[in-house]
Order: sequence, then C-alpha cells, then structure tokens
Amino acid sequence: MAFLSDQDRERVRQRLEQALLREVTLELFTAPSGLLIPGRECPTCEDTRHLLEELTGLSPRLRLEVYDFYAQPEEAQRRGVERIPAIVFRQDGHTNLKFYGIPAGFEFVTLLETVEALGRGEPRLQERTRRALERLDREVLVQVFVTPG
Amino acid sequence: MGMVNPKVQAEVIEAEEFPHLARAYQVSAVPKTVINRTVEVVGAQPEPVFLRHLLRAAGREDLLGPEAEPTGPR
Repeated sequence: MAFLSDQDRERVRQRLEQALLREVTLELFTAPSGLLIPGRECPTCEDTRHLLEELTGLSPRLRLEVYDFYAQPEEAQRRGVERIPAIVFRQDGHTNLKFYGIPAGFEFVTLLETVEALGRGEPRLQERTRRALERLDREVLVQVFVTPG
Repeated sequence: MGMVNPKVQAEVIEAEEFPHLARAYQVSAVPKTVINRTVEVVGAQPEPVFLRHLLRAAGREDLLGPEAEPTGPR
C-alpha cells in the first residue's frame, strides 16, 4: 500500500531534487513490527516506517536509518529520543531536530519542508533571529505540539 | 531555529499519539509550543515574538539586543 499517490510522489521527487544540495539522513526509532509486548505497543510505527521508506526512496540524497528503540537504547539515549516513533533529522552530525509520531496529513508537509530546509542549508530566518540564536550559549528545549488534521 | 544553533533542541510532537504528554502541558489547541517545559506559546506566532519567548525561557533576553521588542504596527 502506497502512502503517496503517483502524482504526489512525482511532485515530492521534484521538490527534493531541487532542494537537496546536501545529504539529509532520517533516523527512525521504532519497534520491530510484528512484536507485541504489552506496554511496548506502537500502533503507528509500522506505517511511519513505510511512509519514510517511500519518501526516502524519492531522492538519492535522502537516506533512512532504522533503529530499534528497545534493542538499541544507547542510540536513543545519545540523541535524546524518549518515545516512538521518532524521526531524528541528522545532518553534519547534528541530531537536535526531531519529529515524534507519524507524519501524516498536514504534518507530512512539515516533515518535507524540514528536509528541504536542511538540504538547502538555509534556515530561512530573519537576520535578527539568526544573530541572537548564534550567540545562545545554553540548551533550549522547544516542543511543538501538532495534530495531523 | 535548530539549524542555526544545535543547542536548540526542537521537537514536533503529534499530540494525539502522545496524550499523556499533551495532557501534562494542557494542550488543547494546536499548535502549542512549550519551551524548556515552562514557557508556553499558543498558536503560530510571528518569528520575533517566538524568539522573545525562546530567549526569555533560556534566560538570555539580553540577546535581543538594543532593538525594541515588536509591539505592533508603527
């Protein structure tokens, strides 16, 4: 079952081709499918994986790495991943951008735009914002709650 | 913003999939942003407003510089 229509796939392929000047890696933390351990259910994990496989298949510069959240806890810990499914956007070794949950509906656009921004290397922020952030010397956690609808 | 400085840990969280978390921060309308688990920003805000919240949460409002804070149309 494909998540994207043929038309959407083509559209996304073109967008990625234009935007990805640099390689971007999506690190997916998930639970292995078919495994049902009470307390470790992850109803959206399998669909998230399929969706990302589809997406990353559309560009040679967009890569997917899949990690088992339970079998590889040190990998999760290193990136500060606390729940699954989690998509960590990795570029230049940085892993400070994450998406938790299945990027469905409108959030697929969010995911795509994030990939594109990283691929272009342009955060598209106002100069004032950029200047202030560059001088920020301490960790800040920004959690944005969204819904797919 | 996470692209400019890796000290900004940015997470997008699907509220419906993680209801405990959404409840803990009393998320009713989205988008709702919580910064350093304390500062709440409801709705999509203009970039300068968001920046002010972020710097305030980080205790670095001084980084806003001498420019006046945005107060609206001049």
